Amino acid sequence: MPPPEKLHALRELLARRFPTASQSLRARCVATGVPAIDEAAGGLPVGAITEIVCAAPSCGGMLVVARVLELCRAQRLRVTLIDGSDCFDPQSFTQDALIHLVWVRCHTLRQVMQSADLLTRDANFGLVMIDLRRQAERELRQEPPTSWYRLQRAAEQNQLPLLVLTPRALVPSAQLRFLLNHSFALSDLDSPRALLADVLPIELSRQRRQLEQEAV
Amino acid sequence: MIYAVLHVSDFSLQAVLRADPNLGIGAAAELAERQPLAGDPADAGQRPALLSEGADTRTPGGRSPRSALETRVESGAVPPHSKTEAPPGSAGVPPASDLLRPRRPRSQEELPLFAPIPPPPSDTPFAVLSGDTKKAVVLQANALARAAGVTPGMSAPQAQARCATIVFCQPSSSADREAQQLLLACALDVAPSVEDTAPGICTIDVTGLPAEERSRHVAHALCQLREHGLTATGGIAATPLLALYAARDTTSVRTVENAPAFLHRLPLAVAEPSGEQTSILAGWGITTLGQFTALPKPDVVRRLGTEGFALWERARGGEPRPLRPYAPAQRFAASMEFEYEIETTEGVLFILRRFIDRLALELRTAGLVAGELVLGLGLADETTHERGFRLPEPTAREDILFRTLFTYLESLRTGSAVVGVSLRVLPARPLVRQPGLFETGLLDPHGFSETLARVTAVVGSGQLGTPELEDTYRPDAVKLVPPLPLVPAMDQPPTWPSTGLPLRRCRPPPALHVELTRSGQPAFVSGAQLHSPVAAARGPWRTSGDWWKPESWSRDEWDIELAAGGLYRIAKIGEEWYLDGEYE
Repeated sequence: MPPPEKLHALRELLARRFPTASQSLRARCVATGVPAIDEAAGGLPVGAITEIVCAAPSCGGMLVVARVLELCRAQRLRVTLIDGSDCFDPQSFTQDALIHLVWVRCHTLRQVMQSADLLTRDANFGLVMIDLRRQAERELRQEPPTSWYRLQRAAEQNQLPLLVLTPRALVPSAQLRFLLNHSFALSDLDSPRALLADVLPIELSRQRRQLEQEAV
Repeated sequence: MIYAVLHVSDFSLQAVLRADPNLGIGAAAELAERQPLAGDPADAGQRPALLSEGADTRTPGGRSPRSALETRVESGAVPPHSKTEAPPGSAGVPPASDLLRPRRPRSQEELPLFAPIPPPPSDTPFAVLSGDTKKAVVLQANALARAAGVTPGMSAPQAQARCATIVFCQPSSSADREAQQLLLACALDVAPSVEDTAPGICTIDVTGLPAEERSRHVAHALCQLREHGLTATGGIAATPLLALYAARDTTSVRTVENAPAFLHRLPLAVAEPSGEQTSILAGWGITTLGQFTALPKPDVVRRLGTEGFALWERARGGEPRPLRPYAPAQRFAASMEFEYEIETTEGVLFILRRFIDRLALELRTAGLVAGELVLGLGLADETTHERGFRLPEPTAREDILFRTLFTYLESLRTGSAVVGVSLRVLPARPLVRQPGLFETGLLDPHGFSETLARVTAVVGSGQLGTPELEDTYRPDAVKLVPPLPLVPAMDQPPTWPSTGLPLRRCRPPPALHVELTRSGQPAFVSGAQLHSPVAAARGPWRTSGDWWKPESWSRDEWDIELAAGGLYRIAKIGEEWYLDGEYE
């Protein structure tokens, strides 16, 4: 029996033996409002880390954050943004779109990871976002992978979707990884934000598990 | 009338021991060594921070805390809390001044600060001295010290000669007051009519309680006292004095139903005769209350006078009397001044835990909860550090109140050591309401508040909150406000939806070198982050404001697209160019 079939058979066997465990693997997702993400994976899986790699300048990473903020606002979910390099601009949003946001202004990666560790364990948040762009490459390299697995465990335990924006693929425990590598043009600044999100070119580069999606 | 008495034996000694951070922390550490801390694993590895900067090595005055204590010993004074140890190689009993050493915590690595504070170790002999001079005498001693031959009235060297490992304490009025408040709070939990009879003694009118329930209520009060560090006994009888005798004659709760039978076997000393009366009655061969009350009262009065009559009445157990009612606290506050400087958070947290336990009990008894806490720290430099904590949801739970203070003290640094601590609770009515079906409030308001406090300790004050736009066009005019407890429903959607990409702002904006075309448009930008020809540009958008203020501002903004890719906003302020941010 070839390895993929063996793996499939093993998964079926485990699902039969431990039906409750297999049910817990059914993922709920939080819709993002970005069609490319919602169609590819159903949204941000609850209890897992989703990584969005912003490989090009002006590729729309903050546009994804804006859409997620908007949808969470409509659902009255409390959201926290751990801003690794203090670059979030509230003036790009209306006041009402920010009323559910807890903005954490960090200046070092250490602050980011410590804050994420605390906030991911809090039951009051519906979504945690971490922005790691503009972080020093040296610091990012020195961050041990175990930190990300620790965060993933915390998110899983708390049933919390965790969204991480990175300059390159660096979260080993990410369940989903999307890649943004197309820059917008100057003329796009005139288009409505929702329209820009509809045409956002985003590529799914990792999906660790075939999830039974159930949009929230 | 039926009375119950709660009696704390060796009251001053117990009060001092329960208020002593060194002993409490030492006992806690001993407990932690024996059994691992059960509770939040995130808290297990935390070590409370030093309150005073550099306090682990030297005091602000340049002397270590150890040397400060030793100096007091050399001057002949007994330190407020000291343990005697035989010096190595010495067979006899050394002088007290050489042997008294401050007792310090053994291990502070894994203190179970969130666990109930255990009582002081029961295997150590303790005694309370009447003062801090060489002529101080023993006022009270615990059972272990008494068993070793230490009795009240002995001097410190005499007590030490009989018990080499004895630990001396000094009476503390604030500790006594705190213990008495705790005793009364526990008594008020039994019945509303309570009398503050004497230090360590309170009398409760339990007539209204069902007969079969009285013992259980008193036993519950004793358990509460034990949890809070006081060992007490209880007695229930038809007169207050008889109830007190019963409390003194038991180790738990005793109910006296047949008073003559109970009194018959009690020793005469229970009625507290004077020395002269004791010798006279001993000469008569009378040693128990039963023998004494068997004498005809007129004959006792004729021979022993009015004092004899009073003794005879006491020996009979007294008479029922109305209690002097104790008014429950309307102001929920506690304070304590230390006799020595405290430089780490452990000592302060120990005392605060005691305060919170007692205040929470008083609040519950009064049917109230804490709405706000006000913590005050008296510092050695004669300043006071005060901080208020508004609780996200009023509560009387000790662990939540303590965590609120702990999270704050964890990251606090004071300029000098702490010499006093006070805590005031502003009471509130318990919140009783039905949450809405679609309400998206906080699941755990106290946890949320604590998480934010911890994150604030990581990132610094003013770096966390909900962004609020200021009413100005000035760039980056944003302030942070505390998050709302409830996320409200959305307003009407804006008439003009947001367009374009959000900005990723550079804080502070880096300087740029910009080359312009003949028409004045940016043609090439170079700087620390950018170095590229400009493919397209829009602008300038000229903005200005606050011209009537000294901090007036004016700027020209351009949106540019670089040939290498990327959309940016650059700004010209005066003659300088800056990179405002990247559209993303």
